[in-house]
Amino acid sequence: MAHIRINYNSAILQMPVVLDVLLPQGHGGYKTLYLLHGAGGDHASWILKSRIADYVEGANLAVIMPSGNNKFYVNNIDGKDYFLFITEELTNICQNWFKISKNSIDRYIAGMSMGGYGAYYAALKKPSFYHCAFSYSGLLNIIERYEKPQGLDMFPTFGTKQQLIDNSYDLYQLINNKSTKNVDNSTQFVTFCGLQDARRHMSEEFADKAKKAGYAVLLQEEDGGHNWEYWDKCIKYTISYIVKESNVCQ
Amino acid sequence: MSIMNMNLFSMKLKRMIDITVVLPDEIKSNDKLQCLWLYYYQNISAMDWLCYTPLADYVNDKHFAAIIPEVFEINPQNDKHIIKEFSTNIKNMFACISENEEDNFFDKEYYLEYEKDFDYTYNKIQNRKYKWEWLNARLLHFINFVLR
Repeated sequence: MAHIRINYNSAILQMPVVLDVLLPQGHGGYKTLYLLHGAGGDHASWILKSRIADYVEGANLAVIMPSGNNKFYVNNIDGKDYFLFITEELTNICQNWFKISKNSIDRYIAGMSMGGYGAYYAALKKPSFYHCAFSYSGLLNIIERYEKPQGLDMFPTFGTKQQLIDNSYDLYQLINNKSTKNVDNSTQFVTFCGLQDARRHMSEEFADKAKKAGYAVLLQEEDGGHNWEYWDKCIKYTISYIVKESNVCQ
Repeated sequence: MSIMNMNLFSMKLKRMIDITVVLPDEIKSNDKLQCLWLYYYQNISAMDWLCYTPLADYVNDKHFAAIIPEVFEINPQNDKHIIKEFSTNIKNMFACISENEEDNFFDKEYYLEYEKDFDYTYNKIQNRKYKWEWLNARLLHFINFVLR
């Protein structure tokens, strides 16, 4: 498996961006996991703070880790279009660069904390684009987070609270959005949360509401906090989940 | 341009190696880029190529790929099986790089000529500026006469 650090000029963000990629040294056609970091992190967080490189060895899975720059992976009200960057430019350019599968059934997205929100936002906004979305301790109630920003400047990203609501940044709005529900949505939502996480209620609430709205949701709760020790377990589980799915398909 | 610093395992060398890949900004879904493999000896790094020559601009303007393996212990003349392994690895990983041998300039005529000339330069000329001028001239030669 190769570790690749990429510096390239993003046309959508109109600035140089850095990505970390783990790519199998095989013959191509790999399933791909887009893995998002949390607030305060960057492209290197998963490599440096978890054992992902170890877990992905031999898994025939490419992992793409971009930087989200604390912008919640949404098109910012006063800033850059991170949603377009993640779901269009990054996907296209990685598919053009590398021999990864172009089928949505082989495309996964995951993230922890802010990245969990970003992963679910992307999967809800682009139904069927990802086969499965994983949230680890996700900040899934964005209105609650907006009201308790804990040092993050939410205004440039979401605007006012009313703008946040009007622009459907709230995942619950997306769940209940008719246009989304009417689409044949094959994306599965796997929600992890530690039992000792102060934001556990967000994951439980999301799982409950999404299930009621007809989405395929799996809630996984076990001992753990809002920390890398827990997210390391999550990524290990995620990779084995994807590998098991590959084996079933074969 | 896109600069990719790769760290991957070489079965032949039995260790991890570093390879720098330079790609143009715009790559379309069916692009199969011609590729220039830049081998060199101990006194030049991939960063040197990027800093001392307009390689990145050439890659962008002329739409080809440049690959710079950071392996100092091999002699490209005698270790063709290693060169072959690197080439296979890169072709297996990258969708945008041509798999045709004639589009990869590393162990064919152009490369051998380059290697011969490089030895001459390395042995005879110690002046760094002159050396980079010469290497840049080689790049231009590749762009003007070899690239399709």
